[in-house]
Amino acid sequence: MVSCSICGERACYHRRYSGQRFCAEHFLEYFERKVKKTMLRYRMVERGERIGVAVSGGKDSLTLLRILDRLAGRLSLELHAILIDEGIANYREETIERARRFCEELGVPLRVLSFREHFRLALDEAVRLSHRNACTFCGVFRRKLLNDAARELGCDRLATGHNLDDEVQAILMNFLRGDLERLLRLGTRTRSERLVPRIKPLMEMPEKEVALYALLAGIPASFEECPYAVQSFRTEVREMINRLEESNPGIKFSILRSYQKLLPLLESYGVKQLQSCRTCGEPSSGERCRACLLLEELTRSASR
Amino acid sequence: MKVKVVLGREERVVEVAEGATVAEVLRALGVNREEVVVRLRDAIVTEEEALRDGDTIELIRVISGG
Ligand code: SF4
Ligand SMILES: [Zn+2]
Ligand SMILES: [Zn+2]
Repeated sequence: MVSCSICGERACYHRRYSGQRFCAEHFLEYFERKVKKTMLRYRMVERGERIGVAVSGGKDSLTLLRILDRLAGRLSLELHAILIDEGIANYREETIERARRFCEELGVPLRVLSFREHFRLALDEAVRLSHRNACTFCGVFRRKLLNDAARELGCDRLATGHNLDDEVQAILMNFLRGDLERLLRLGTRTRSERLVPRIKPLMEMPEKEVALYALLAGIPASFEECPYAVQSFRTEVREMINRLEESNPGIKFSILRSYQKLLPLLESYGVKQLQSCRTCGEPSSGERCRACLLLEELTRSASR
Repeated sequence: MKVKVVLGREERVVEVAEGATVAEVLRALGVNREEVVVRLRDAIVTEEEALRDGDTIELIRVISGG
């Protein structure tokens, strides 16, 4: 039997990059402490703030909600869960149900916004009208609705469940594509009053640890995959990183640290000022925002 | 020895050396340890755990992509 480095009970996790082994109880303790430390280190929240929490019903967002809920009392945080229903048949219904149940259990108010109600079409319909990848619409429209909801609710921050793996994948993807603008945007503070500042409390937690936390803490998260999540550039990058991590434990952290060291250099190279979208007035890097451009494209295909 | 591996609705039996660990079974299947959590007899275990003939392990995929 493999045993916990702290108490000698049976270990359920071997944290290879530090050599420690944890039993269930000590893993949960370690995980919560580490998330707390990350939040302090990056000064993610301040006492008394109102925090919007983006939830989907998956393991990352429900784990995030549970941990913020545990910190809420001591820091007098006011939490508001926000869920975006993109309109993905045979997938989203169940995850919404799980999120709803968990919010009820914790007593956190939940606001649900749907693509159908705000853009007049579900993601499934958008995909049928376009040659574009579902994730393109999904990402752009979801980001917009999350920001709208957080702003309407008067939130000081918007917390998302991005984990270490998500971060490192995004860093490498932007680097490999030579997209310096996006590479920079990943790590800099928002540059517009209309954008609610985002925080990512799980950004230093590997995806496997988040899943383990959700399982051990009995969080009713869904482990199903979105039907649109097919083989993509992101999958290739993920597989490459995980192969590297297997033979070089800790490399995900070192990619994140390298990025953080590079950030000041990237910033001095110039942060593009955001303008207001000519159509909707929301912050945009071009004359019109991505959401408006995509919507117009969809309206054109629909009338054809 | 033989170990049964359950992944979602799929089931497979793998032949591994006596006393093989979870890590060796994953390697034989080409599964990256970063992408699964492993359950053995109702408990989550590390990849270093040694297996016995006839054991069943369940792999839970941790990748969400949603
Ligand atoms: S995988 Fe599914 S949920 Fe995730 S961005 Fe793509 S369409 Fe949206
Ligand atoms: Zn212990
Ligand atoms: Zn716009």
